[in-house]
Amino acid sequence: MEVVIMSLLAGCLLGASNLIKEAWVGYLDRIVMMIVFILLIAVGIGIGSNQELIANLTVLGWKAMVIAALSTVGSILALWLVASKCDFLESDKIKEEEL
Amino acid sequence: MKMIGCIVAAVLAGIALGWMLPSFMITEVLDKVVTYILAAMLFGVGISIGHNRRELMKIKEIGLRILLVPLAIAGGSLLGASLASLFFAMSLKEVLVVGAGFGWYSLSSVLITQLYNAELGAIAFLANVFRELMAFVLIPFLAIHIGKIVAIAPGGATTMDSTLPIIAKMTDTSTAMIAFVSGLILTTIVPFLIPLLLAMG
Repeated sequence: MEVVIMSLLAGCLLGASNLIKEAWVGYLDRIVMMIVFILLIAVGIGIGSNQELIANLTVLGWKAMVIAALSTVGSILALWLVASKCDFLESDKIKEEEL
Repeated sequence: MKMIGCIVAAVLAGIALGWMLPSFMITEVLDKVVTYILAAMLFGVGISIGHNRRELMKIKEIGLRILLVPLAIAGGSLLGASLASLFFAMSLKEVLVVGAGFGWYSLSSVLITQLYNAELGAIAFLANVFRELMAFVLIPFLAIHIGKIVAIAPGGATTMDSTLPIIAKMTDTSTAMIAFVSGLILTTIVPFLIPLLLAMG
């Protein structure tokens, strides 16, 4: 856990410094994507090597579906409420007119 | 959509591999190796986040009010996800962590598998894939029937990349810009929020 957070923070500091050139970020994103694929295979291995998990995959899928639906609906309702109190786009139009 | 196919294929390949490998191959050593790979990945993610500092500065120009958009999306997602603990034998922490992926299935599943367990990692993967798929369907509906801004919500962290084109198509330039900034902020929050939630008792 500590290793993971520390490396994230170290990366943030390095990225925020001026040491990183713009051109490197494109390559970096590609490298990160490759590592992500390796790790996704590891996620799969974690599932595949666990017989109990495989047997319960439909139950997991159902749980995932419900959590996804609830969090999506929650975010829509929350943003709907906020957007009804605060008009984000109108102010943009005014700014554009001022310009 | 091509990306999601590749990612699902990678996980399926892993499942097949995990099924075939004898269990003694999947040792604590492998687990440790993966943790270091994860640390390397987060170092790279961190550099990207830090580098985005320049783009985040633009928020000041647009106005700090725009921060309400990702805040509402994050708060609503977590609140919605928390309700799931009423239906399932899952702790509040577990459902919150799954909801905290905000649609970023690759990072959330990898983090949760390594820092917690394979079962919750699998749920996080599926839930966040479902969220992105739902976003593709909901964005046009919300943009037409409810409002342009509300159409940003279902995409969560993905509104800075995979769902941005459809938002841009269904709304306008100002909304697409707000969607990008909102996705950027949520993408910045996820790698911090998931370990923090998992570290809580």
